[in-house]
Amino acid sequence: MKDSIYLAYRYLTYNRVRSLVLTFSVAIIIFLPVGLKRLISESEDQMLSRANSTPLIAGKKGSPTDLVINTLYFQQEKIETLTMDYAAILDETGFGYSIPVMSSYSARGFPIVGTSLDYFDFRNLSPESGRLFGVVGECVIGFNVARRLDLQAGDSLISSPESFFDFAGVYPLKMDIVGVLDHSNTPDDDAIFVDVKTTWIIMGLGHGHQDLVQVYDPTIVLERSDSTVTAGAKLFMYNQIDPENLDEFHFHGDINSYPITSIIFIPENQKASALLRGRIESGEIDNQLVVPTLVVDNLLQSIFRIKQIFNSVFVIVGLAVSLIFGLVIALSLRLRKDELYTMFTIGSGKRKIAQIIGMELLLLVVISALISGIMYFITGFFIDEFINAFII
Amino acid sequence: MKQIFALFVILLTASSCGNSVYKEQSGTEHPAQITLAVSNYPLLYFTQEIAGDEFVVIFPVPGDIDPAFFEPTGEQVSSYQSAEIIFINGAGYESWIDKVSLPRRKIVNTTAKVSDQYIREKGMSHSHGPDGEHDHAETAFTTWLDQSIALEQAKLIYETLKESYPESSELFEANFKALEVELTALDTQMEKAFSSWADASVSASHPVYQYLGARYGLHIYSEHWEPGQKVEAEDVKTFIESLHHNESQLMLWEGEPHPETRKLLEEADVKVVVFLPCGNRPAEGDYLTTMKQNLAKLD
Repeated sequence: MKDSIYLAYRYLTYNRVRSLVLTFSVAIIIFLPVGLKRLISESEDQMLSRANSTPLIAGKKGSPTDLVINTLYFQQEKIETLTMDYAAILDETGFGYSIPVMSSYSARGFPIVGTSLDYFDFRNLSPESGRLFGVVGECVIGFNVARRLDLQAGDSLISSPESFFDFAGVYPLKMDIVGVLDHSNTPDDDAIFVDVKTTWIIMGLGHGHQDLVQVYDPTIVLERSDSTVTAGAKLFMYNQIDPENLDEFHFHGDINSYPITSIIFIPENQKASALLRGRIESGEIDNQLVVPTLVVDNLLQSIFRIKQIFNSVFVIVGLAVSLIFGLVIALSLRLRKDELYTMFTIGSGKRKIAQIIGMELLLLVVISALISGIMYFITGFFIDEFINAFII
Repeated sequence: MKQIFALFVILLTASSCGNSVYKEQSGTEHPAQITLAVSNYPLLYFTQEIAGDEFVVIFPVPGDIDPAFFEPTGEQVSSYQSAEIIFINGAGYESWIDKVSLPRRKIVNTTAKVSDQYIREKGMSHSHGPDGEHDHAETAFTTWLDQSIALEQAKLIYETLKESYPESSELFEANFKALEVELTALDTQMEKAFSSWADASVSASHPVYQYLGARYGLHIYSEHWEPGQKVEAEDVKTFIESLHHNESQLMLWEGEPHPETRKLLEEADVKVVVFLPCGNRPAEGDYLTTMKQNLAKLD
């Protein structure tokens, strides 16, 4: 037996290129259906688990899918905003409590998510190092953000401008990183969290500048009366919030009228959830309220259809590759006719020759299975990329 | 033996030191489980009266700072964040709250149900950039000087505690009923005390008595004079002239005025009364005794 394995091994290594092509062809055929099945089922599990852990999402009327994807995955598609006072309206129903979410801006390619501290309790997120934000201008970064940008508590991050050509637009805000979140294996790992008021400062709805009542420079103060001070563009606006200038930061108007992209609503129980949905569907309370599980389920239905098409394709491709594989073996046996005859004439029986060829095939299949096993293992690291590229 | 005794003494001292922090917060030696937080002294008083000694009520504002102009440090923000419920006064009293991060769900605005009674005042307008003119409009915030609003604030604290900790609802109810009687009586006393000043020229050293005036029928004109700081004689003269020589003149002060200012006012027959708003802990007594002392000075 050992000699047969040895001869089979020597034959495969002698015909390296052909052996490699065959091995990888078989490995891919084994891997594709099982790998895709794993990608889809784990993506499905991950998406459903995120959706299942989020009872209700409220947002402006529009696409429920965009609303859910923005709130759960922080994909910053342009969605219509609702006002902050809607969170208070939902709270006043007494059916549960609201967590505001404002996800429109980014920093170095990662989404900035404005929310309240309740979000961390709700998602069971705690800092791996540092602490949660305490004042406006502070941020807490996700595990992957810290690793990929090589950042830690004590560093800083600058918000990206909405448009590079918007020279007169909102100034970027330099945010102090006060904590790094523990690894959660969710989209929270790839987000930068700030207080929702910080996102309003990034938007320009709140800002800090010198106290105009105290400024007498005529190149800054253009006009002054008993009740009004008018300043020019020379007025210095702070782009970082620190203890010295915190007092100078302020918001204009009622912050309850400021925008948020959505509200995560946590009802007290199933009955409260049903009653609230009923009130919204009857038009008693404006805007839309969606159950993320239903929206994600709907989204996954189309993925299942694609999966079924792929499965059919794999069966056909698998059959074709098996036929080609058989043909390659048959042709190689014909090419090896002289070699097999030599083996026969030096005393090797037909059974031994069949054993050697069988060993060659077995070795090919075993190595292919090993390679596909490694590929299957590696697939597990690409679930998030798969979800981002093909599902949301 | 001596060494064992010394060790015992050290352990005893250490354990008593550890308890002292707790005693300051709760006023009892019981290790309380639940921490509540408040943003001014009247709320501290109402919450402690209703919740009793089983709850720790934190009020991290130092005694020498007006809580309306408090700027919390990181540590003080952390202590608010760790509380189970944060009772705030509302009406724009906590100007710092827009600059810090607190869990929304834990914040209870004690004047939310009486927001229709808020008194708005226009602030200084300014304009810069493309946003155009805007002003930082202010809401009068010493709501508790109207005892009917103070009672509503206490009632909301009671309702919140009862809903959050139903196992102690009987205790809360009994305590609230007692407080309700006290606040209602105080309201009646205030009404009676100020009724004799209804036709008088009433003024204030600072604009903090708006709700008191609105509740008890006083038209209060406010200056911006700091207690303890000398007001220029010319300014006092202009002020006295603005009183239109009303026979009965009363001026309410947040704190003791400068002796010379008091003298100038009293020479012009203006009755000077230090009426403590009690935003922070009084030097002596509590909320009720301070308010009663304020009223006694009106006679």
